[in-house]
Amino acid sequence: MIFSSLFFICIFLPVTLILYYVVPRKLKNFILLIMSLIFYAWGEPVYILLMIFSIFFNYFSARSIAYYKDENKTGLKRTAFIFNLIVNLGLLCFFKYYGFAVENINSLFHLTIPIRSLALPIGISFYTFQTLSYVIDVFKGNVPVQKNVINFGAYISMFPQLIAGPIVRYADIEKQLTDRVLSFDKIAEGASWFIIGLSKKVLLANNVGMLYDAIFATDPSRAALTTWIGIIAYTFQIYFDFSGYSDMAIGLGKMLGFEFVQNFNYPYISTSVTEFWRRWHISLGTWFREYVYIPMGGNRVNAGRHILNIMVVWILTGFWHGAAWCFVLWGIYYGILLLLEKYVWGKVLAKIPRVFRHIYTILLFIFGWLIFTSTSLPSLWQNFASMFGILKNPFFNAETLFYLRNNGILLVVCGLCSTPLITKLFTKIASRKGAGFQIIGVIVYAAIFLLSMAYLVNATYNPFLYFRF
Amino acid sequence: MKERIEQQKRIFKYVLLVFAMVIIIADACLIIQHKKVFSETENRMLQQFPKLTEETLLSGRFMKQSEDFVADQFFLRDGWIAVKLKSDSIIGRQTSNGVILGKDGFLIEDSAAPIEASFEKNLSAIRTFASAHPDLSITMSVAPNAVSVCDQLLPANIPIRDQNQDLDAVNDALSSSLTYVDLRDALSAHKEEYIYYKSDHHWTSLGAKYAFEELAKSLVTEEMTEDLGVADPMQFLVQYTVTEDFSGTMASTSGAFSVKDPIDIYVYEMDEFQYVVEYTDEQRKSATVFNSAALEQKNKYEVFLGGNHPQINIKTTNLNKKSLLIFKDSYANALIPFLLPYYQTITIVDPRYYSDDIEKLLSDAQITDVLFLYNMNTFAEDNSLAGVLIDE
Repeated sequence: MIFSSLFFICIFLPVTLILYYVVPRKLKNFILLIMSLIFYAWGEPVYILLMIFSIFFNYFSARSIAYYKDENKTGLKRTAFIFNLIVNLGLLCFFKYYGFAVENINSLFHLTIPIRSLALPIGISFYTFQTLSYVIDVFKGNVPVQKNVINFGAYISMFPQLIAGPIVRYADIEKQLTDRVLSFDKIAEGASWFIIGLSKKVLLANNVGMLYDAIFATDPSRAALTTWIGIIAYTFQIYFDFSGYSDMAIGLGKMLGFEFVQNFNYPYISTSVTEFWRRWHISLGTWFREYVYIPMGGNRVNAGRHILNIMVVWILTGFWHGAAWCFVLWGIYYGILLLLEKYVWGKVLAKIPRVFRHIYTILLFIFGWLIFTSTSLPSLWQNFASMFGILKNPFFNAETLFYLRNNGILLVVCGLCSTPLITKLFTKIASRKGAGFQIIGVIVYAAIFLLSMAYLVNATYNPFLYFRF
Repeated sequence: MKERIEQQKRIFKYVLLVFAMVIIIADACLIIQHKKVFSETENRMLQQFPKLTEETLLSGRFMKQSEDFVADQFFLRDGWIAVKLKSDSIIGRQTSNGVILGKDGFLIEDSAAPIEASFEKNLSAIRTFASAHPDLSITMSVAPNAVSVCDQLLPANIPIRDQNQDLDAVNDALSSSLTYVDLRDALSAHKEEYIYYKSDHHWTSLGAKYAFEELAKSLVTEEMTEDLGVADPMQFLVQYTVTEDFSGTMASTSGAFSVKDPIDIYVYEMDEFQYVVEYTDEQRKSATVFNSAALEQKNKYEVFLGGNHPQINIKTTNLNKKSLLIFKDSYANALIPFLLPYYQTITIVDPRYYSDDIEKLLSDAQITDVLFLYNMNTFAEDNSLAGVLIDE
């Protein structure tokens, strides 16, 4: 099930909220767990077994780690912890990377090991990381072990962030699991977040996505400017798709009384690659920093080791996004850029005018997305060459004009919505004194909600990008 | 500051109210409203409330059908789609759900790229069929679609696949095996006229008439005209407008429900000329190729021969022993009325639905002439013709 569907909005959400609010406080986590399991089973019923296994395995595994800790049996504690890592990462690797690994082994050694294609369990990359955050923190003694299996199950399977994050660390949400504020105001605020997220996904991401699909379905010998429009469309698509989903998750969390961490903070207004990664998919960056980068020594090591640490983190980050070489290349690309900003041109960069820093950053993340979205290295090269007319393709042609005529306004709207300008302006107007301004505020929300519903009803086109991860 | 937060809270509350109201109305309609079985605008069965069984639950079919149920039975479905179309056009979109929004309210089907494998297979099957039947007089025509004929109606600069390359490919592949009639010039000469529907992917009777005039140059021999005893039967054609209210497939797909067309038909009003139409699948006979019942339904184009049937047999009062076999798609339905007086029998086969032995049909019906008549978009994607022509 995806949030941007009529079924979720009209059936699943109201049923869940009604059940959740009629039962006494003690049973709320139980309802949340049950509804989350239903949500999870909806697309692929078999994998509910995997989810239930993950809940029980990690529950007992963490309790045994905590037990050995209390008993001061360091060796056993470590063994239990390593066993846990092997099982969790093993499952992730098996479902996500098995086919990829076999493919590469086959081509490397000229073997023909059969590739079994397994449907990727939805959200496995996300909930595995959530689980690991819990187990690692229990191992390190940063959080107390969770003794209630229902609370724990509710945390692992919680449907708002199950499919596409944010990756909520257990430490951030531990208290809320037993003690959270439920109020009418929070439901209302959550609904507003949900509407914003929904419209980002349905009105912006899906529509620019169609533009990207149309352009990239054609031969790279298309006009250079057309290729640029295509990759810019993808740049907007992935941001509004993913951040829209995060907004919906945060809104749903609020409706249930939870406060999740912010996942995107206008990444496209960044003035350096370093800043971009402080603003893009924040929960993933935090996870890698806390559980990979810092344990490896972070930046409190010599330069050689630091370079190694950065590259390891970014290769893993790339690989986390998908089992393909282009994702690894994408990770390496960012690892190198971050190192260059740190050791080579960071200081120079800080001195040049802001507008040039913007252009520098925008170009780099656009090329980043080109690597990210490429299915193979040759197609990456072809599209890259197309952007610079290296394929002897024209700079622009009639087709380019058509794409601009049909999508110019949409692209401008996407551009504006990538900055805080619209939100600021809206807040300024809507928070003026007087009922008139309030009415404007409500009308704006209502209009984008109804329009999103219209696009959903028409939805012949509603793919969700982050299902692949 | 505090004031601001309070104000924002109030806005959120009203937003929640709107949010909840829409959901409540949607759900109430889902429960109370009479469940529609068939959508005319979309031309398909709508999902009913799904059955919950162990099997449907474990296979995931129950979930899929539940989602379809909510979407298919959503209140004011067409209204929402019209809103979507409006907003698309406000931001300058010139296509909607794949349909080109042309000038003067024309909704135009995009050109389809041939499906390589079946396209080649069909062409070679036609060649094989022609060489196996040297005694038959075989003619073929693939009609260009509005997208390539009425280029003046297209939005400026729109990238579309050039149909000419595909039409040329058909011509090149077949002109040595049979008589290929190119309809492009005949139709282009009249491109400013009403030769394609605004709301549908078919040609109008007028378009079909121009195509027939071109085809007749090859099909109709002097002998055949002499047998008729009249110099030009077309002078007996009388035009009737049978509806003003046709909203076709392009209107449905695009969401531009308000686009309507009239449908004209042409009838030969000659003394002593009669015919009988037999629909073999329905075992039904009729004295006309026009099916007035279709005018009461959504797809009024079915006024021509009642839509597509696997096989239709027409017997006329002409006794010239000319028996025509037509392999065709739905474009031909509007053209067949013009062919009527020239043949003793006309047998119409739609390969998409036909499953009998074609050789047997050739001898049983004593076929003398064969006509392949398609439109380019259907022919590009057809995967049934070869199977009917050649017994595999």
